[in-house]
Amino acid sequence: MSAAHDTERAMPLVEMRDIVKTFGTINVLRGIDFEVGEQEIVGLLGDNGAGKSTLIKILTGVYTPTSGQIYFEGKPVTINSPQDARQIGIETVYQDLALVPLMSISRNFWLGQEITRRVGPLEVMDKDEMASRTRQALLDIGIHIRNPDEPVGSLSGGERQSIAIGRAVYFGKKLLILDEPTSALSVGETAKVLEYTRAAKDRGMSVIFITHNIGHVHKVADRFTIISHGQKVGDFRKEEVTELEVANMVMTGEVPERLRLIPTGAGGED
Amino acid sequence: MSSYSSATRAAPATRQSNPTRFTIIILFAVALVSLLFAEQIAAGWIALGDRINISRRDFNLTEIIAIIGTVLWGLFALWTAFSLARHRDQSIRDYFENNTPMPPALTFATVSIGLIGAICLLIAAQVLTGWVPLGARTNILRSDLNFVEWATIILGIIWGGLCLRTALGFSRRESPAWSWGQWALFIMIVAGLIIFMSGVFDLPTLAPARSGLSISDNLSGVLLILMPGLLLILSALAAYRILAAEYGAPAPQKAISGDLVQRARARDIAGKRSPAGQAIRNRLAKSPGAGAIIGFVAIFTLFSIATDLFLEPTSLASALSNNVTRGLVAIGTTMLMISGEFDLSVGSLLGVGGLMFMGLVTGVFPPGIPPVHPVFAAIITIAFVCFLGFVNGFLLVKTQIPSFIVTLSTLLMYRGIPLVFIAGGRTLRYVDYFNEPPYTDISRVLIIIVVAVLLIGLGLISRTILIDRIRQFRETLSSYATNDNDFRTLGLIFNFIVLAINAFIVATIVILLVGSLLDQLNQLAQGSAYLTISFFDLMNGRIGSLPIIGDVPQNINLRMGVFWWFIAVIIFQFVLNQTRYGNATFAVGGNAGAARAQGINVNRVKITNYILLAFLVAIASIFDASRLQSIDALRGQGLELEVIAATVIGGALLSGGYGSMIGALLGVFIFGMMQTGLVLIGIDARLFDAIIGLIILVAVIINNWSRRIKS
Repeated sequence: MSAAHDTERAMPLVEMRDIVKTFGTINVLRGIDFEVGEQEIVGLLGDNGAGKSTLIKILTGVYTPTSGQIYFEGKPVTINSPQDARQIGIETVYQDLALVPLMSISRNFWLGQEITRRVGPLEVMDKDEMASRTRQALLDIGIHIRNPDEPVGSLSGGERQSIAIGRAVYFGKKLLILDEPTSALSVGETAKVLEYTRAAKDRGMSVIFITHNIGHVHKVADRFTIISHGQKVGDFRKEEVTELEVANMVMTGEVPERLRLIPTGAGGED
Repeated sequence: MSSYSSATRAAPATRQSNPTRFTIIILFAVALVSLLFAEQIAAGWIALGDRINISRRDFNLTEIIAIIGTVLWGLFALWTAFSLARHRDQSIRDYFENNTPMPPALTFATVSIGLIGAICLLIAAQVLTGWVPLGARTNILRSDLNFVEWATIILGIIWGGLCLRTALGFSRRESPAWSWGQWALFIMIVAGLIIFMSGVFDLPTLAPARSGLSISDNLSGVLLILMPGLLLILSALAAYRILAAEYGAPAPQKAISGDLVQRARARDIAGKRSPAGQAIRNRLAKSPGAGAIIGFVAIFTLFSIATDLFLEPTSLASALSNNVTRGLVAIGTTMLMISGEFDLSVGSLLGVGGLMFMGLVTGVFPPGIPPVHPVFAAIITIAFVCFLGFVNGFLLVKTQIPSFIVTLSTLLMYRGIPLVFIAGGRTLRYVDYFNEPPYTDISRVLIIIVVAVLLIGLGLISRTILIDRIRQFRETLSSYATNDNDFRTLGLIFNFIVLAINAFIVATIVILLVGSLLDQLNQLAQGSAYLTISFFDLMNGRIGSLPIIGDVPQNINLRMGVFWWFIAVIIFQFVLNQTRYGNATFAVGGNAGAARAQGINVNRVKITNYILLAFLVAIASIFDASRLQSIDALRGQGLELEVIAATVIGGALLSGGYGSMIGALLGVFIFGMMQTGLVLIGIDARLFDAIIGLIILVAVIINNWSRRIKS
């Protein structure tokens, strides 16, 4: 990453530098640089076991890196727990862990930061307010729900993802991490989730979209970062590569001759 | 709509075989039972029982109606069965959507519902006026009508009207009638079973009276009595299956590509036509107390019909007073279970708490400490038991061992304390140490302040609870017209019952508090500055007089504990539904990962719930010791399973994330009603556990069914 390049582009929202993670004798990450710009959707691609989950878990505070430094909005940060990550504005939507199925949409939406009002000495949840603001907040990014009191369990997988995304947008998070959000969804639902991802970007958020299937992310991503065997294969803007080339890189872990010659600065790990 | 029906046109081919065959068999059974019944009344050749009239010239109007009616009904059922057997592809959907003629099976269902409606209205008329010759009128004077009779009249009119309206809907091709009809029949099957069972309960009195023989000698007489019920159930079942089979047809496959609104609409359409089961399931997912409400109403009705003694204040009061311990512990267990854990050690905790309290008051335990004032004893007991609850939670969180194992070991360990300190099966009795109860002089001013604080605090809490319930009820009511859900009426009724139960509890407590406030003021005005009362009585003594109602007769055993129990229900319902902590509790049990991701400290919530449960157990142990004024080493043994049973009956899921305080209350009510009711109707008390077991099984089956929504 050349110094000249830094001046060309705006300061990235997140920068992870030379991240190394070892579990015992196994090197899972061998010095990875990873960055996400402001209002940028980055597709983080890699085969199963490539290390993308570990990288993201370091960013969200589930693991601490063996070595390396994370910068958030230009400032060095240490993220020791998911709470820390949340605090600075990183929201992760896990496929199964985002919502509580038996609780209503509105209760899920406000979980952990419920609206309360005081009744005498008591703090009471303001359910009406919570319901109406949930409905409005989701409507704002284009998600229509019929009844905020409906249990989340009665929604489809795509609708659940959408609501989790809507929640992150509403609470003014800066970075949204979607972990394999579309792997269990139908084509139609995937399209909806991608649309809300774009809506999140339009509202000023950056998004990391983790997947091993380029087809799911190609439409919305601005840039792809490809990881293989704990090392970065390359970093490519969407215009520079074809879907097929990305898919091949995910599979083989090697950059084709043509791309090595492109002087993007953002590409390659040289 | 057109694409919808064209997509389903192919469906009948896949839907012949078993469901229809079974329906045909039921229809044949209906025909058989009706014809046998008619034959028995008319000729008496088949020895189903004693013939009602010996001479054929003596037939009265009821008998003539019964003979003609059952013959026609039997033939109708036969005709329907043959028609179904020949044309298995009769489509009800086509009738509603494409104006095809009404298929015979649907005719059968329509007539069934219409007849049920007519019979309900006739029964109501008979009970009210005695004009319709359905049988002997229960009471001659209208002023004599009792609660059950009034309920019969009102329910008969409402239900009869609804059924007739549904039948009319069928004839007018109103598709909502389709799901309506299923509900009507489903409820008729349940009601039919209740009537059938109450007939079974009445047998010991009915059957011998008619013939002077015992039941086993007169099995045929028994059959005769039960046949109308059987006929009703079978007919309703056949009609239900006819309607439901069509619902069970493969859902239309429609490519859904639109946005969520479109999806929602598609789901609305699907929902309108979903099988009844899906609707119940959705409903249950919304209100965890629903199953308990159904159970409570059914069992309450059953016992009210089966025995006159059940609705006596004596029985109801003892059913309540005997369950204060279970009731309090069930509240805490429900909280804990919602957060995904449970506690087997509550029985031992109760034993430890009782020993601690009684031991401190008498100076026996802990050894070497002189007797202390009961109030201090209570405070120390609560603190100690809460600590043991904390130990449960701490061990669970730190070791990550499942709560079953952790609390099984603490169950055994904690029991050691009373076993060691109350030697050899002895009973630690208060009267062995002191001659008179621990009387205390309490300043009436203090009482007034405490009561006033309670009144204001509970007033605020119950206001928010009631507002919430009223909001729910009004929402259901206002969306009623636009709501296409199959279950909207039942939903409305549920919300109303929940509101009514809450209002009842709040009203009870407010009346008691205001009453005692006025009483204390009055006494104060008369110059009596101190109330002398035993601490035991204050906790769980017999209530001698109630405001408004006046003196409670000696034989009614209503205890102070019931009052405290209701207060605890209100407080914890507030905590669970109206506070952030309650939300966290649901989330921790429902999906710990999601809760953690939203910044909730899962371990802390679990430990807190263990402590809350221990707190309630401690209170319960003080009540228990106060009532009996004694304690023995095995006190509380088996409580854990009873309470988990009551909680599960109340609708909480062992796996967490689901449950309600209304459920905890009704679960214990059901438990208490069974205890009292089974004795009253003369069923061997040894069967009690077996019947509770059966109820748990049914409750869990219903729970699991509703839980499928989770995945």
